Formats: sequence, structure tokens, C-alpha cells
Amino acid sequence: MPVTVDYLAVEANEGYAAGGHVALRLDDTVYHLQNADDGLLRLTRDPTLAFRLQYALFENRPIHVTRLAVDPATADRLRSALTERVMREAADSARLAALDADVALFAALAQDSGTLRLPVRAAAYFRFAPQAPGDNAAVAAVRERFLASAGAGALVRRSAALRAQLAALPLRPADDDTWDWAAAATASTRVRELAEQITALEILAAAPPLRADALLADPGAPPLSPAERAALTATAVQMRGGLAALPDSPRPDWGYALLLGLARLTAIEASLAAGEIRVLDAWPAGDVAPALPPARVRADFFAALDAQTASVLARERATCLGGARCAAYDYARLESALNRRADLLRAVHDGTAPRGSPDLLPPERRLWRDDLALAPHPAAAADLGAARHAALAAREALARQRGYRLVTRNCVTELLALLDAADGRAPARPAWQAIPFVSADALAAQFPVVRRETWPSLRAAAPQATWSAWLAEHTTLTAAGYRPSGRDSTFLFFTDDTVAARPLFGAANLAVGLADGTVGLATWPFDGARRLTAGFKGALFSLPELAFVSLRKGTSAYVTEEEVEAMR
Amino acid sequence: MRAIPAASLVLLLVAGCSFYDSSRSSSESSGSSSASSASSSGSSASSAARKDSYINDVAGYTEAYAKSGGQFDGFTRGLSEIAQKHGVTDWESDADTFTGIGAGLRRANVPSAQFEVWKQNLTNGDATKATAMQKGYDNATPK
Repeated sequence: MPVTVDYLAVEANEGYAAGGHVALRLDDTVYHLQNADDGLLRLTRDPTLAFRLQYALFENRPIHVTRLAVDPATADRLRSALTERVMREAADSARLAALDADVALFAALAQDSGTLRLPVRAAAYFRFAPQAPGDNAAVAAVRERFLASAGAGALVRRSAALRAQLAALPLRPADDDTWDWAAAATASTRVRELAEQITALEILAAAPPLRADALLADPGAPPLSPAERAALTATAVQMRGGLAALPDSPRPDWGYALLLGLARLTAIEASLAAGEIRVLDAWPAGDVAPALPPARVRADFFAALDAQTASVLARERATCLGGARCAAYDYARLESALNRRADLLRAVHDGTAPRGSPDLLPPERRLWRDDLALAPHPAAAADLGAARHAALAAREALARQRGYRLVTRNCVTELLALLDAADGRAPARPAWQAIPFVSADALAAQFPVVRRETWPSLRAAAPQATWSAWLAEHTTLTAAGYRPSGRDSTFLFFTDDTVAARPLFGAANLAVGLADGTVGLATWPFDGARRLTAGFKGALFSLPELAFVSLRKGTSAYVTEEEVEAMR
Repeated sequence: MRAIPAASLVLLLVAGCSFYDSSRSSSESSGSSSASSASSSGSSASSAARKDSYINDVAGYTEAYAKSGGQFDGFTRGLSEIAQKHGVTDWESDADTFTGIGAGLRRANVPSAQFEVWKQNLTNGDATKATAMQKGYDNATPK
């Protein structure tokens, strides 16, 4: 029996994608290729709901769905190919980051002024000074468990052995020009791993408390119920066993896992002691809050985020603490949800915007250590050149494989190639099939079409029952469905869902854009050319409207929790 | 859309595809905080779905790695990266990790004798982990 694959063609907008966008949807996952800052095409996976939120609601772009019937074997091959590519790209990114870290390491060694600062992830959650014992009972419990199996003195011995290993570590730049699964760890990777292992053992030995600013809480959240306390307690018991075993692990990166685990375990013990949920502050250091949206939507913006962060936190709390114990992936989501909630409360208090973040915030608060000795490295300057060459060569190799090219390798061509490979056929594809809606028709000729539908944009979903309502919904000043994010160019009329009036509206938009840009010439010194840019960009995107072509749709500052729920 | 004149297609192509939204991980715009909040709201709430997603990703990574003939040392580093994206740092304490590894090895057509070597290296004789890995191997379909 055939299974279905949805081909999603997203309409254009100014800014992120004037060329439109496409995606494949299998099961509840959407796969799409995006043009990354480094010029590479990156295969991204999103839950369907998250994809719709981003494109149809935040970017106001209708999504045209063509549901194709494919045989199960084809769908299975496609799923495997997409997953494999995601994994390979993740490995590519990790490898490039490691090669860049090599460049930084050899640059620091070349400028050696006697000390080298090494980053240790998650160690800065602790008030840590080597050789200074603390009173962290959660860490001490893990230590006792480890010593019970490893023997007294094991921490001192192992820590000394790791320091000796770090001091004798041969530091060589990577000599491979291309990425490979089996490539040896880079010098910077080994240095980081050893520094993290040494620090983890020292923290295990000293049992320092967490820093005062390490934990976050939601003062408005209800206290822990007896069932939640039981779930947290069971989670802590399970964590203790796993953490005590980490120093014996064959995995070379156990140091960070132990450091973060000890910090999280301490947070759980602190939660049990306080009777409320407390988690690590996972926000990266130096993260800058973005600009607030325009004043007219600001109150609704905060209200929407307040409802969303409270709802997500309640849901994650129930998921994590509703069972016998909390799974690691559920705890990480609870931690991120509480971080977002706390950040929103801070933003409301400070009158600033809350910070943006990936779906899961990785807690990595880094401690920079300058007391860990590396072997003298007289050839650092020469090795720096070699490290730079390796990083550059790896980037060039990846650019040849996955570099974005306007017509021959873009989000459309790559998805079609994956689909064709899974299907076992390779139909000739003329260049114009690289255009999103043309490609949808091409696929409709290749596979049986089960259904076509359109997922409406946020603004298009707004009610327009009368002429006055219609007109009101077509100006940026009055449209109820338009919640300006502050990123849009200057324009007055929406033209995306009106054809006859498009040139007239476009002419008005052109005039408004030019006028605003002209005013921007005067305000340039005061607003960083923001008005100038918005005005002339607005004029530019008005030109196609004169010829009946509409690209611009405006973007939204927020969506409400009700709108999210309605799409489930 | 289909009535768009041919000349405008050139314009449509100018900006190419959507850009990778690095603002989801930093903060370039006011939309990013709202988008990331809504995105977390739109993620799956089911622990069972997260478990399946984790196992599938571990299996996918293992399959790709085993097919490429990479070595054990590099395997665990990459596995840590995959696990971390799911919020799992101590992946050795999670039996689901081993279920996923077993499934990935089976999908990659790793023969049972070779599978036993992987199992020994990864589980170090831990019966719970070995059972989970065997379960994943037995229940998966080779490709």
C-alpha cells in the first residue's frame, strides 16, 4: 500500500527568501535545505508544526502542499537518505568547528606568553578553586560511590595521570584535507577533552557548591507536589549511578558529561530542598537581547510570550515529572522551558526583549583555565599555517560537495535529487524545475497526486467579510492580521492577495518607500541607517508589484498560543 | 502564481532558497525570541515520541557510520554530538542509546559476528546495555 510524501512549496517574501522555498514532509517531519552563512546548503529537520509556525505564521507565507503517493520502499529509502545526510552534515559541522579550534589553539601557542587559557564547558557553574574543598552533598555522594569501586586515592592518581597526559600530548595540526568519519581527533579536541576530564575529577574531589547565579526558577510556579518530588528523587538516584561510572568510560569526552551531570544533579537536589523547580542557567554568556517589536504590538507580543512560556513550562513539567522518573531528553526540555520563562520575566521587568534560542539550550557555562600545562611547542608558528590550510581545505572540499549554486544546486535541486535517487528513476530535469512551484508540477507528473491544499498564512487567515474590512486588512496601518516584527521594509499596501489593484497599490508603496528612504537620509546618523534601508528596500520590492508580481507579505512579531494550538 | 511573466521568474530566483536561520540560536530580531518560544511550543510533548526520535537518530547515525567503515573512537564522539542534540549527555546510562545502536548496525547489514564485537566494545559486559543493543539489532530490518 502506497505511503504519502508531501511536497511543500512556500511562497516568496522579502528578506529571507524572495525566491520561494520547498520542503519534503515524511511522517510528521519536514526536511528542507537552507542556505547557510558559510555558503553551504544545510539540510534542516523540523516538526511539521514548527515549520508551519515559522513560514506560514511568522513569515506570512502560504504553503502549497502537493501530497504524492509513493511506494513504501521508496519512502523508506528516502527517509534513510535524508537521515544519513543530516547525520553527515552534523559531523561535517563538528569537524569544521574542531579544525577552527585547532587554528585558535596554534595561534595561542604561537603567541605564547607563558599561559594558555583552555575552555572547560559547564565548569563555571561551580564556585571552584582547585584544592579548595566544598560542601556540595550531591557531588560528594557521586564521589563516594566512585571511590567505593575505584578505591581510595583514585581521584588523585587519575587526575595526576591526566595532567601528565595533557603535558605530554603531541600537538599536531590535522593533516587531512577532507573530512572523514574515521579521521583522528584534532589536537584541540584532545586538549579540550583532557582539560574537561581533569576539571571534572577535581570538582568531583572538591565538591564545590554552585555559584549563586547558576540556577533559575519561576517564582510564580506552584511548589513541587509529592509525586513530583518522588520523580525528581528517582531521577537523582539514577543519575548518581551513571555519573559515578563516567570516569571509567571508554568515551573520550566523558569530562563534559560528568561536569554537566554534576551541575544538574546539584540543581535537582536544590529543587528538592527548596520545594520548587530550579534548573541551570543555560543561556550563553554575552548573548545580546534583540530589538523589541514596534510599540503598537509590544503589549500583545509580551502577552503572547507570557502565555506561551507558561504553557510550555507547565507541559514540560508534567511530561518530565508526571512519571516515575524523568528521562534525560525530558529533563533537558524542562530546563530549556524554565530558562525561557525566566528570561521572559526578566525581559518584562527590564523592559527589553527576551532572547532567542535554539529549541534546546545547551548548558555550557565555560570556565577558562590557565593553570593546565601543555608541552612546549616551538613549531607553533609553522603548525598554525598548517592548521589554517587544513581548515580552509576542508571548507573548500565541502563547498564543492554542498556549496549553494543559484540554479544548479539549491534547495529544490537537492531535494529532487534525493527523491529521484530513492525512487530509482532519474528523469531529465530542465533548469526551470529549480523554481519551487514548477518543481511541484514536475513531481505531480512523476508520482500520483493524492491531494493538493494550501496552508494559509497568518494574515490571509484573518476575517475579511466586507469591503471595508477587506481594505482595512490590506494596509499595514490597519490590518488586524499584521503584527509587524520591525524587520519589514517600508510599505503601505499588501498586494499578495489582490491582483487587479496590485499595480496601483505598488505605485503607492513605491512612493511611500521612496519618501521614507529620503527621510532616512536625514536620520541616518541617528538610527544607523535603519530608516534609509527600510525605505529604499521597500521601494525596491514595490517595483515588481507594478508588473503584477507580488513578493512582500510582511512578517509577524508573535503568534498566540491559541494559534499554535489550533494548528496541532 | 502561474500567471507570473517569465521575466519575473528571474527575480524569483535571485534570492534562491530560504536562509538557514541562525537567529534561532542567537538573537538578531524581535521575532527570534517569539519564534523560538513558539517553536518549543510546537515541538512534541510526548515523552514516547522523544524516545522514538532519539532511538531513530542514534540508529541513523550508527547506520551511516557503520557503512562508512569508521572506527570506534570516532564513533563515540559523533554519538555524543547526536545525543546532545536531544539533551542527553550521559548517553551510556540510557538503554535507548544501545537500542538505537543495535538497530543502526542491523540496518547497515553488519553481520552478527561483527555485531558481537561492537557489543563487547560498547557495553563492556553490562547485561542491561547488551540486552538493549541486541533488542535493537533483532527488531530492525537490514537494508
